[in-house]
Amino acid sequence: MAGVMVILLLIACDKEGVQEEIPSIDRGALLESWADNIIIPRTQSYQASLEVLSEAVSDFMSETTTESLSELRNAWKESYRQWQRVSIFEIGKAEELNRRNFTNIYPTDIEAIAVNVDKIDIDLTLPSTFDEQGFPAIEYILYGLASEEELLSVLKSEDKKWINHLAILVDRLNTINEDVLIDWEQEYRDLFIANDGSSANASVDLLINDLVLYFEKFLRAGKVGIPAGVFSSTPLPQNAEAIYNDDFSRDLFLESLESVSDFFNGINESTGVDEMGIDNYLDKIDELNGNSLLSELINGILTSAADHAITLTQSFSNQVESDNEEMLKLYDLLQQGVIYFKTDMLQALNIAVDYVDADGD
Amino acid sequence: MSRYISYLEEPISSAPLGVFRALFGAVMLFSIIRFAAYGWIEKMYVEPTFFFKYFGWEWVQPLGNYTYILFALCGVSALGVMLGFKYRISIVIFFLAFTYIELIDKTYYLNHYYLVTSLSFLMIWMPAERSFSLDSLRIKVSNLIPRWTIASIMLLIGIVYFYAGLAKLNTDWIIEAMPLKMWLPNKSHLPIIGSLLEEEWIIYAFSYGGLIYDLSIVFLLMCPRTRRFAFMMVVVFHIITWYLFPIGVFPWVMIASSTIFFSGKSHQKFIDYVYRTFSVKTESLNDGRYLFKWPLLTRWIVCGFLCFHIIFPFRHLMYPGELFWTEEGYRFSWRVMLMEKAGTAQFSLVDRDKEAKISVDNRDYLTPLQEKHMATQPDFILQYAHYLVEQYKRKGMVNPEVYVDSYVALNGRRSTRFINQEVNLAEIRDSWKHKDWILPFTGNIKGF
Repeated sequence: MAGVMVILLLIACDKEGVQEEIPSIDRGALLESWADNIIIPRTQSYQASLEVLSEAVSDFMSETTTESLSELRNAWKESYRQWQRVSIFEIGKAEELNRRNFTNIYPTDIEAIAVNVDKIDIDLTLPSTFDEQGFPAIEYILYGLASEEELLSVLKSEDKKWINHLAILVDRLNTINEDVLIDWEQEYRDLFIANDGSSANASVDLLINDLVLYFEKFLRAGKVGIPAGVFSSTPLPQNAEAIYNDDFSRDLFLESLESVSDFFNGINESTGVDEMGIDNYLDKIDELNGNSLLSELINGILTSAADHAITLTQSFSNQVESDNEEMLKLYDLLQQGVIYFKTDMLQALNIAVDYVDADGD
Repeated sequence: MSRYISYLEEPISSAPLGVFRALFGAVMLFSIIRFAAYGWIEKMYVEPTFFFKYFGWEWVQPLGNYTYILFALCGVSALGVMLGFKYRISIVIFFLAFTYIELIDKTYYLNHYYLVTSLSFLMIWMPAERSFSLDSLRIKVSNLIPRWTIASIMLLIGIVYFYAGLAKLNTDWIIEAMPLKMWLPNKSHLPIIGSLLEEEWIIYAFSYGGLIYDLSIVFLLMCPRTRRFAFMMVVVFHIITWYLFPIGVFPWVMIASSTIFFSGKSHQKFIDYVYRTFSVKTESLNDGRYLFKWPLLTRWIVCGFLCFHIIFPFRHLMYPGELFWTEEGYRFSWRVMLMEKAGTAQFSLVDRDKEAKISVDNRDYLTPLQEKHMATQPDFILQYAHYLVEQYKRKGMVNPEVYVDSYVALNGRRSTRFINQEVNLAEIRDSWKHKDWILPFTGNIKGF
């Protein structure tokens, strides 16, 4: 540290320069790659899918048929998928607007929804309404409101009040993400990239903490651990994601897992090319320390989790009810992922969890 | 023996102590204002629902919104210390208020906070208001003080540096250049020096530079011929660490403290300069009359306190296992910048009667910072485990058992299991004894 003299001396001796084998750690370049190759394209795709969903709702409103219902459901599925790819990035405007909580809190409160549908003015911006909106609420109306045979007639009844409510819910998703996207495209991108320091308020630290939180809480616990009963005395299949649709929760999980893996590896969303990502950064650190590659361990565990998930039934709530052991196996794999992310990766990247003083642990 | 005692009692100029007092008070005032301005009072002492207590100090209670009053008291008394106004009362209040704050939650333990507590305790027993103070302008007293006052502060500063240097004499620091090898490359975004910080030889230069600095700086400060150079090194060293690491006010505390090594003459010149600038009139009272009494009790307190500081940091020698891993004897020993440690701790509560096992989301009970510290320190893990038992009893679990699935990575090694997952932590009581439920360290660190 203070060996300034030593350093000056060494600099003086080292006029020949140094040969670089591995690309050096460049936080600015990493942030640029995250913003331009991953976050902004993903937010755009999600926004596009929401616009399709909006269209589908108005089509369904004007022509309430089995065909238009199926179109609408498909649009909902596509948006829900795209959502899994942006959920990690609760940063900037998304954090300010509480995007994740307004988009995907489940189980949804069906009693509140039944009340809301009859209200003339509803305020869905209150935190108390997290579980009355977003994809789970839309799903309930599209799949859970009535049996498949009766659904269409229920949706048509009472001046199509349910379809009206659907439009309100979809509109809300649209508005939130539109604000997020506009902010990224206009201002936030440059701020995000310029904030290339290494403290708790720097972009790298913020986003890595977001990744760990997402993986631990929303992916491991929310999608798998909670329904499997890891955090309660009995399994809670009714708390799985997408419970009104029998064949979708596994797909959502896999999409979410892939979105983590693609982000980790710096896969360009538009081209599919492997660019600068966390993995390259970790490899550089491991090279310096003469360690085996952490990125391989992390990718290994993510692949194992995906491989195991594929063998489960398409509905996680059914899986919990029929054979919870297999669900718990998936949880254990994800827990191993948490250990790699939260201990080995956070250490290697020297991520600060909060802005406070330290004296070096 | 009596020769040493009379040497220590020899009257000398109180100017160095006066300037030290003023700088110490100023840095403390700055530190308190900074702490409040960052919103940390709220975040660390008001918002959390659970606090990690020091062993033996469990009775210290968080004060909720009254914490602000405690901080205000701390700030006002720091101002009193700085100005030398009602000095004795100010320093006693400062010591008590500051120490109480530190004892509320050990999550925020920092070596320099411990240094502040120690220095302010030491200063209670000495007449630091004899020079450069409002008190000395109001009440006429001799500005000579016995040598032991300044000498004991020098000794404490010396211990801090030298012991910090001794602690670096280990294979991780010397051979692996750890943890700097993890920290510096992550600073490569910094202007000018940034690109150098991932060069191996630079990292080693920093490691060795730091080691040599810590071990030698006190001796260079003691020796009149090298003092100016040494102080320059102090300033440069601490400004570099301030620039590179989030270590708060530590650099300013150490730079201010190091001024104590300068002679009475240099300090008097500085005081005269300040007095002249502010047109303060003083009468010279340096008449050789020695007015400060050194009661027997004070001798024993100061002497005992310094002996404690010399011995206590070596208590780790009485514990088996790797110090960096178990942290038994790690705190209060001037071990700074030695480790990069990260961990995860997944707790589960088991109800044998109902054969139920419930995992815990730490976020329900702890702040992110508390969780980070808890996951790597066994005494935190134990205390939190007991807290969870209480919580789940309240929720209706009868005789819950608590286990932890925990992994820790130390200084760039891969994470390994930390706590024996078979041990029911509900049955373990904390004590000074070795915690045999910590699994052995699988790596290898040799050294002091």
